Amino acid sequence: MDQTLTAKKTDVVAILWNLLINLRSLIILVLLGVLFTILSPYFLLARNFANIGMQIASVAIGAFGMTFVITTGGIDLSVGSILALTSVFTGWFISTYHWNLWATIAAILLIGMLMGSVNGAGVVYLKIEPLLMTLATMFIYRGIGLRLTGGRPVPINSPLFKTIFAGGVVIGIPSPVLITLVLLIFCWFLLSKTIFGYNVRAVGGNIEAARVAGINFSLTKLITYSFMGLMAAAAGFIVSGRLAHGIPTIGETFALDCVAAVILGGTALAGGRGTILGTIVGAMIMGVLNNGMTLLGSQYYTELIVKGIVICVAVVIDNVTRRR
Amino acid sequence: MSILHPPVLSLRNVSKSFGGVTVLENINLDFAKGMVHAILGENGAGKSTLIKIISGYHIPDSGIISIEGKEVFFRKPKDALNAKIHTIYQELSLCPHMTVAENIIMNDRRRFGRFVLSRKQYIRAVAEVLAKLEQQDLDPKRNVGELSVAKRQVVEIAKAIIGSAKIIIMDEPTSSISKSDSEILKNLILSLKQAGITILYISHRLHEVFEIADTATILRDGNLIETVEKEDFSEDRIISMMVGRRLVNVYPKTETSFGDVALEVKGLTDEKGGFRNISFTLRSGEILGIGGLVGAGRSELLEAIFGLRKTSEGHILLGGNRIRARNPKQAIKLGLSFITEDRKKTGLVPYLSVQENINLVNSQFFNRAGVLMAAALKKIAKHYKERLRIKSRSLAQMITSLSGGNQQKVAVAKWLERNPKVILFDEPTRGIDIGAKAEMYTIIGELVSKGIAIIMVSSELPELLSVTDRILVMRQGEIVAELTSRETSQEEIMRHATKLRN
Repeated sequence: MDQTLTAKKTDVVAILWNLLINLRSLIILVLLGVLFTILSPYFLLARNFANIGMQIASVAIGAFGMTFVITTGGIDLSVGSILALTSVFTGWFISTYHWNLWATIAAILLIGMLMGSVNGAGVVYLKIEPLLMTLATMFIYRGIGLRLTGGRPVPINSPLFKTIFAGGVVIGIPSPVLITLVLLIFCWFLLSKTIFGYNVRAVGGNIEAARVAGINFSLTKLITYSFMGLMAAAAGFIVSGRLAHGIPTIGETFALDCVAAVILGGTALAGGRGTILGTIVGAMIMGVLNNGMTLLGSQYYTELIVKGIVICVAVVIDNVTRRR
Repeated sequence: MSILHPPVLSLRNVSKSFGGVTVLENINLDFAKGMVHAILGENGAGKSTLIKIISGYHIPDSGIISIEGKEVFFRKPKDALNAKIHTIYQELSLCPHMTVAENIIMNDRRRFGRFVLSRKQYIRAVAEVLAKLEQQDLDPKRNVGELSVAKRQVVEIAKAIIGSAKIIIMDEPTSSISKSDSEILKNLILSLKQAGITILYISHRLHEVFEIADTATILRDGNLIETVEKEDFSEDRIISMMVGRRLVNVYPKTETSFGDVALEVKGLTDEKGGFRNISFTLRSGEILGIGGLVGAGRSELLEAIFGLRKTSEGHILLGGNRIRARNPKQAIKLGLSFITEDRKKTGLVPYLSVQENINLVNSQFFNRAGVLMAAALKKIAKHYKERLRIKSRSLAQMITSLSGGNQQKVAVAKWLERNPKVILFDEPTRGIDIGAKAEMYTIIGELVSKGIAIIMVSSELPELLSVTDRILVMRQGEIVAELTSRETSQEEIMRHATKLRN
């Protein structure tokens, strides 16, 4: 009996500690929120929250996809280029070729997926380091978009498109936020509850164990890159919906913003450890930082500096809590 | 083989070679149901190749493997798993960021869902298995990364049980766990045995094997020497089978006279528990050998002397002076050199030339305001290329294009310009051919004749016996014997290296 009691006591400490570790991103987020609430009367307004949601939607969606890639031990630098190129195609399909909107959406998601699959194939079959493979396609996809358009934006003449991805409001929630929420639930389920998500974590955690267990690690990795491409295209809808244009030059920092959100969410760059809930918190940290500093009237340049510092601090906290 | 225990697994004439080197030759072996069968042998005897064949990692060149009389052919590890053979490797194959339950179901995940895993179902199944192993206190929801090595082994065993393994192979299971944990493991093995599971137990700790094994097979140089039943276990006999009768005195030994004490180590204890309370002295011109099994703490000791590892107790005197700041830079300045075990990883830089590798250490000294003194360095490289008879077309040649023996000479050459007083030599002839070995021994002889003292760690007993003057035998982090090389034998060294602590 005594033994179980002491066991319980240490359990409580362990549970609290685990909670602290698991919630550390959330704690950073709350602290930032409290800080900005004190500093600005506008921060805590519902309208402002909707604003933050709209701002982070595209990065959050990209970061969901990135969570899978990073959990297998990979990375994808090309997603900004995929986003830009697919947004250009979106403009053409709708405005130039007058495609049906739903057919366009399906086709664009497929194209994004194919571009991601090229990354995956390079990594898995040509055995190119993920960083190098996606660095290469980052240039290639960006170059294709710029060549095809001469660098000029392509208008997207579809009010419905704009409503779905940017302007619409459903039960008081802006559509980009709603889309993000749906994808959040889907990705969370996929990573933590399905065989595929299991395989992703196993491949990143110990590829030898995965191999012995008969997990097709090549296919698993390939799918994460394909899915990443698809998510980049989806994020592209939100961006081009807001701008009503497909723009070949957008998304230059998109890939690194996604990586930052994933890392802020506690996913290990080395692979094996990743959570979607962490990633959304990471994306929100970036969003709150951005929004709060804008409310305080600071420049974009200052925001970049603060963003960098927050990333460093988060990683240090991560290392320290993990070492114990 | 009694009728009660028909062979669950048998090997017939299994052979395997890698690149023309035969690693296993005509192995015939039967494993009985519900028995603990130990595989014994020195490093390089072929133990790991044998288990890798049984577990589907390697495909044998010839021979037949059969399970319960039926011939099988394993192309990949999964095939062996499907045949209910589960292997627990020394570096456990677990995912640290996944939970105990998630790790346990890894091989059998498909049983818990086609697309979505049923957490409820697998947690229940895992709890059942842990109960069967009397490990209910292990929380299935904890992350494996938080567990001790012993508990991770429990996870591995549970992984085997949930897959209803018939044969479990354990590769050196106790090499990295404490004594009390190995006791727990022993009990686990006995209960597995009672459940009719066959255990293949790979170890070179004889006392453990004697305690738990029913049968032991001794391998040496890829050959099966003998399979011994429990009632015939005898330490002396098994050791002599492991060691064999090898030619001993083919190694040239130059006689030198010893000078003053060059190095003195007093009560040195590793911070991380790699070795404890190590004391010895070394005179100039002397070659001190350190014998023992892999994992006995030998390399760790050399690393600590060189300042690469932190120690919690004890001190080191070099030429009578205590070394205070302990880091490699300081060690080099004071006249220590360290030729590491793995020259590819820690000895040489693969993309640099022969000359640049010879000057790896010298470059830190031969520069003016950070600019390398090219002419001087070239001269040095030339000098040592001749002195150590390094065979390369030019000094500009890439180091990787040299043979293993010549690479090793470069690894030695890089230290000599510093005029070392003591050279730490970890496995001086690993992976080089017999001719190069003889040359390396000659070089060692030349070095000691100049008054340099050498500490040499070696797993090759004949080499240890004939090259050194004195041998310290380490076991589980401690020095357990000091022997005079000329008066001892391979058997005596092995006996000290494997014996149960009194």
